[in-house]
Amino acid sequence: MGSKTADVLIIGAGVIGTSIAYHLTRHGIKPLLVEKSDPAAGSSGACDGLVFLQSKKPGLHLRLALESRSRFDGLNDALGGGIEFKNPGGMCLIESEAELAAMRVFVEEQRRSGLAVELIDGDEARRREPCLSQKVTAATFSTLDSQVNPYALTFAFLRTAKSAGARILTGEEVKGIETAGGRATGVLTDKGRISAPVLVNAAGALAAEVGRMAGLEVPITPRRGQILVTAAVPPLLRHCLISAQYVAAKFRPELAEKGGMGFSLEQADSGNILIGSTREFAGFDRRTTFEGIRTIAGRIVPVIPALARVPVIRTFGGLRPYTPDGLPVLGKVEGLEGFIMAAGHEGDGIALSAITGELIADLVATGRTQFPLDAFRLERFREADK
Amino acid sequence: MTGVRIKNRRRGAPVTIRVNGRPVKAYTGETLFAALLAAGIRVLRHSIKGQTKTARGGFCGMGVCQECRVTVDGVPDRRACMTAVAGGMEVVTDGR
Amino acid sequence: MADKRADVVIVGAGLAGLAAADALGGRGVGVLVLDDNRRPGGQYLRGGRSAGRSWLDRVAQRGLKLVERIPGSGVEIASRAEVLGIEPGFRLLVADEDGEIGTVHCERLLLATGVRERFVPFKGWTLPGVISTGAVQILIKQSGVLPAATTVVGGAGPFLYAIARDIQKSGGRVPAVLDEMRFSRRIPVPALLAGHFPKFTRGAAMFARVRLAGAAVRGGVRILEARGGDGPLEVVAARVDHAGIAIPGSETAYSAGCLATGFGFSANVELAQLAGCSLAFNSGLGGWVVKVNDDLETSIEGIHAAGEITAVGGAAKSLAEGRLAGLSILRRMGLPKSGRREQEVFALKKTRRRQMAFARYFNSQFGFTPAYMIAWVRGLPDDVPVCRCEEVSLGDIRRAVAEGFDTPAAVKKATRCGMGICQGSTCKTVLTDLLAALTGKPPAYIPLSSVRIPVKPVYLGTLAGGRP
Repeated sequence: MGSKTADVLIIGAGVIGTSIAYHLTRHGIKPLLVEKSDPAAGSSGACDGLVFLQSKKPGLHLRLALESRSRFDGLNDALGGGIEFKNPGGMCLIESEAELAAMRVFVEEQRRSGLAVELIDGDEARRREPCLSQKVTAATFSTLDSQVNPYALTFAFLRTAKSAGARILTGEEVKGIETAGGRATGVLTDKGRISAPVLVNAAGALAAEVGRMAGLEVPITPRRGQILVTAAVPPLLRHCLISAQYVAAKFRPELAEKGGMGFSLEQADSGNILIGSTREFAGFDRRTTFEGIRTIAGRIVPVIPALARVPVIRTFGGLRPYTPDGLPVLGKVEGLEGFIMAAGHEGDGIALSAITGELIADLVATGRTQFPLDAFRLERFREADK
Repeated sequence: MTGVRIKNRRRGAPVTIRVNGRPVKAYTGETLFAALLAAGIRVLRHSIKGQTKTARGGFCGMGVCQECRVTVDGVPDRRACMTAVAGGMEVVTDGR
Repeated sequence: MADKRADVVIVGAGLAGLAAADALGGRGVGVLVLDDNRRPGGQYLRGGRSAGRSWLDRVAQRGLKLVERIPGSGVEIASRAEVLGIEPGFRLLVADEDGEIGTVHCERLLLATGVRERFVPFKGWTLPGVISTGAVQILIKQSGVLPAATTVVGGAGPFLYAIARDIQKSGGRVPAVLDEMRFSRRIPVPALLAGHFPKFTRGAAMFARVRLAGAAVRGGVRILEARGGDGPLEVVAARVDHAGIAIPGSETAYSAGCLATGFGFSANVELAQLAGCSLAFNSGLGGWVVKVNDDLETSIEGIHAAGEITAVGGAAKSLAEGRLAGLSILRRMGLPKSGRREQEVFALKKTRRRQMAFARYFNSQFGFTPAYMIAWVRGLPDDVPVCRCEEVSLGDIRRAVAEGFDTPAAVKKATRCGMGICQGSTCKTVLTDLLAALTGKPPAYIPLSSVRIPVKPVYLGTLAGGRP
């Protein structure tokens, strides 16, 4: 058991942790990532790759996502390629009058936040996306909606960071956070001590556990999403697709109660189609369920009938790091100098990875961020309770 | 290279199936994989990676490897080794 | 298929499943056997009586009688029923051959899911003219078809000779049997020989007959490559030394219509793993197997396991374990004790211990030392396909390991190995062998990837409640 040191220690090598590592190296800082399993072994390897602006809550959340999205344009080249970033545009599918009415309002809010969204009727939706059935009565369309390969992105962040001097320890689990006089001084892992004056909690669904090690209460809980993966098929989907229900389940409970569950689809570069998803609180159980996968299948086949004859070859459950207000927890924490939060992205981790990495790296390197982090601070939950 | 029907084996009733539009003789009780081999058809599909296409046929014979996928009566990705021949069956190789 | 209920569900109608069903039948217990083949009997009884079986093969004769006896005892066998998943309770998700899905509820579960074959890859093993030894056996027994007029048989282990014999008896020609394993490894210790004399006698006789029928039988020989397009295959093989290194200049080429290849067996533990049963890696038992106690109970209350999935060990073991599991389930269900039954259980457990000793020998016939595997893998060129479904090569795996991805789950994400439609059914054991050889870790330390429902592909339309 040796003792190691690092200038900046990042807990968790998912898409957030590796993005932060990459962005830190751009400041000339060489961080150390400590990962209990393998890179992208957690939620970053159990999700779809949608970089979807239409699913973000208008206001701060959407503005943060728009910032992040703009970084994606140059990311593939910056990371040496292979992240499978595609910008086919995205459609949010509407299946009822009630949904249409709600979406009209939503579209206005989205536009006010700076997202250009088009409202089109069912026939136009089918013209653009021929596989859609008559169940789709209308849709909203955004040219910005995109997709990426989430674990390839994670590996690319990591690879590029490593080539600039970042290091990673895998199969090493943080068991304790060491502090002295209100400052973070390092971590204790199952293999030894690592001293570091700056610790970044990028542990995703496990961020609450890491927070507890530092004496902090971090209200991040796992919210499982089950996803179906089909066999690779010739190109069927032209766009990324979500349902208006999907948006509703996130932000408008009254819509979520009517109709069925929301869905999201993308066809990856490999040809596999990923179809999501449930939103359940099931602890840390990553298994998929009969009910979950049958519900997803039952939801999607009426909307895209050609999928009936496509085999499902795999399913998985990813744990979204859920926070009570739907915004991530980013930035310094009061009373513990050197401890930085970077978790709680719910189902938006992939989309927000680019901007999160940049903001946290800027914060660590310069103390300043381009985007104010007040609204994302950990203390907001305590204040909300009062 | 063609498969060979073993002599002096009791077989079921003869049937005709159609493969890529052409009639092929088979016997009830045979798997589609066997009938195709006996008819000299062993390339069932192509694996595509990038621009390269490699010919594939059945491998494990027991429904595990998924190599023998063909379209049967309009339904793609049916395993030939797990499908029993039936008269009038329409089979398309390279079906997806 | 419609939703069903049973007291006991048995997954697999091979020898173990049938023996268990027979033990449970006629005792007022509702038994449902789910089997994915068209007819019961598993691999050993493929083709039933019309496949032609020696009257000397007592195991086969007993098995065939089981198949004939069972329907009369109140046991239902659902053929062409594919179990896609298991949930606690127990609930099983099952797809039938029409592409319809149903749920089966049961109190107790017996997993008897048998084995599939395992392989060590070589150049050209994905060519259409290369098929597995098991596939050849099934073609012959189930459909009465030979894959070609001449077939080279190659790989490792005693199953090669059984297949060569099947081909010859069916009128096919076998130019050569090419076995990586040296013949000196075949000789069992005297105690084992004495305990399983009939098996070894039959094995030796088969070996002799294969040669007499004109096949060149060669041990210590490795297939380097299979080549060919539309015409005949050319199979190139070389001698290997004791360290597992192919000897340059020792290549021989054989021409045939087909190459039948196999390197042993791997237990189908996926459903057990999915259900949460503890597994163990033991090369003497055939790799990853389900852990069971003397009564064949797994670590999950209510689930038993029997047959090849507790240890790869042959037909006689499966018959004994199936019956033992059936009797164990009866005891668990509170059937009144009977002196006769207790005696039978005692005798079966004794038989089982004997069979396990044979299983260890059997698996040693397909096993190579870590040092040997390292040399073997080192000698393989980068362009050897590893994951057939996703076209992942050995070079891709080597590069991923060099970059720090050294578990199957990590290699999967880095290369897509195991992400294809077969979900690793073929490449899982290959990858374990490769990672063990490339990292130096013992195979037992190469973690298993997670298994999720569905354990076999299922159409979205089927999952949605209709048909494809």
